Amino acid sequence: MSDNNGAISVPDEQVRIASTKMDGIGPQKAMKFRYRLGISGNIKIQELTKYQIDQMEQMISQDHVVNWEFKRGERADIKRLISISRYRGIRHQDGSPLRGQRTHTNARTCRKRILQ
Amino acid sequence: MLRSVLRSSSAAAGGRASSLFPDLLFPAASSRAYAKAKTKAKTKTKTKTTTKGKNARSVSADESAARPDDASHAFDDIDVEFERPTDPLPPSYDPALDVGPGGRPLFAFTKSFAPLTRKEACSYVDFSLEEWNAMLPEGLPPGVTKEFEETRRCAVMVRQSFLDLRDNFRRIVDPPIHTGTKNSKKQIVLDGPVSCGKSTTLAMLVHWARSEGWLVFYVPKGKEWTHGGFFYKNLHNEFWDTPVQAETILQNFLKFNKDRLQQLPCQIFDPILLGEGAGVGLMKNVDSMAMPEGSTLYDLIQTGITHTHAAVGVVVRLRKELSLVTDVPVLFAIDQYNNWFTFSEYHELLTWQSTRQIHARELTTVNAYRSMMHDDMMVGAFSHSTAVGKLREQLPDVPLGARLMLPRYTLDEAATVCHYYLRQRLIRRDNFSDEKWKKIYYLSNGNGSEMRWLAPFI
Repeated sequence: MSDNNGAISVPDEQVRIASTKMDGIGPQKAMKFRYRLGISGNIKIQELTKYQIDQMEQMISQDHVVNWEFKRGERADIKRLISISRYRGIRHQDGSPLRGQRTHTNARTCRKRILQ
Repeated sequence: MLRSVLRSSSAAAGGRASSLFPDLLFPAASSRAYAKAKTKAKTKTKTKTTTKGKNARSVSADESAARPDDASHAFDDIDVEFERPTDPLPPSYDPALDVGPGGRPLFAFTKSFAPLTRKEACSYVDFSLEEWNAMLPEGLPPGVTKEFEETRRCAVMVRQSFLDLRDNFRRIVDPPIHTGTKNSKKQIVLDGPVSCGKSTTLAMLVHWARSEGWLVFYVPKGKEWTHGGFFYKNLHNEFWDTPVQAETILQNFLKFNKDRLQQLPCQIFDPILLGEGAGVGLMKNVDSMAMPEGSTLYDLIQTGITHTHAAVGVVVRLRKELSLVTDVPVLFAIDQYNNWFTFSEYHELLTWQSTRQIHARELTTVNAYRSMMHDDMMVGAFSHSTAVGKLREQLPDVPLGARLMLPRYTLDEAATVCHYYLRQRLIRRDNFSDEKWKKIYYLSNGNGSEMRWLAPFI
């Protein structure tokens, strides 16, 4: 049940939307899970049975990285870039955008991390 | 398109006279302003597509809410003159008012559609909503419901096309001595332009058939068989099971036909194959379920409702059982039939990167009921409301010549309709004239829902 905590916290949402609340699951993966489990688009989380939730959990944990594992992987990737002194690693450290955006103006979203 | 023409022209009209359709557009602008003066702001949030739904004046209310205030002051004098459908209706039965075109009676007072003849064509038949719900507990078509809401009366017009359809099936069940069933068709597909009355005709046919004591398998929304719920691959064949839909189908069928089904025995006693239940997986070590000897169709259906694993199997078995019933005439009436000739909402995952959309014919339930290549009476009505698109002329599993194109309103039918709307105060009596209702008719090209929408603008 732990992998699905993000989805189960919104029982009124449709499965295809609630599934995306989990880190590592986006709309495409959510759709593929639905097709694999045989769930149509309008079914809500609260309409799923325990059997179906267990099936979904098993499917996710078998082949996919989600939630804390996904975040750990993200952090590890950033740490690696910093440790080998890559440009992108330095940008991560500085809190600046690293995909070629301008910094003369804007870049507020990236710089929000410094301000926080 | 018609509405957009009227709206854009009315927007251009503003405070000046419109040259294109002065009689219609000024009332349109004024009615919008009237509705804005009379209606509360809460109708502002409704979208364009839903404005026609509940109340005829909500159309004008939404449009007026979007318009600037200065238009309303210019039409204050005209606002006062309009009487809107929420005004009290005259008594239900008033001989002085129940007069159709040419002095003919507007209503045919009958308890069912059975005794109606050609003389009663172009007249209205009035039942209460409770009677309609009792005869069609599966639900009324949306077009019929909208008509009842907007006219504030549960009456439908008897059209010649309906009488022909009814007589066609009457001849099949009770063939005349001389002609037999030569000119009768057992399988019919009702097609036609938008809002020509396909669903309404089918609902009236079902009402008539049930009043005659027939066993009618009525599906008011064929789209629901291909959308929603859960879908699982059937292990025994290449089809896809939809247990939630199957259970709903059985429950709907039981609503009206319960008493009759308790008298009809099962004639097939092969075991029913079990599939995956709705959200509960497969049954362990059990592949099939046997029906005990002496069980009735009611028991069969109850089995399908109680055991979700058997629901789809029971629906398929029911189709075979109904074709073997000889005690009573059996009619299959499917609305939104065109949805069964296109893709469903479901997809099959081929690989993690690719999917395949499942066609409606691959669903077990649809596959069992879609075919018209049999000897049972079946009527399928197409629907333009479900955005299926154009289908080919010759449909698979449909006999040649089964398609029946229902026409839109003729001039006589339009006259009756306008007199009925006059009776129900959708049209003001002071402004009603032959010329004006004919304008409405030609402007809408006989489209029923368009005429109903335009009627208040007379």
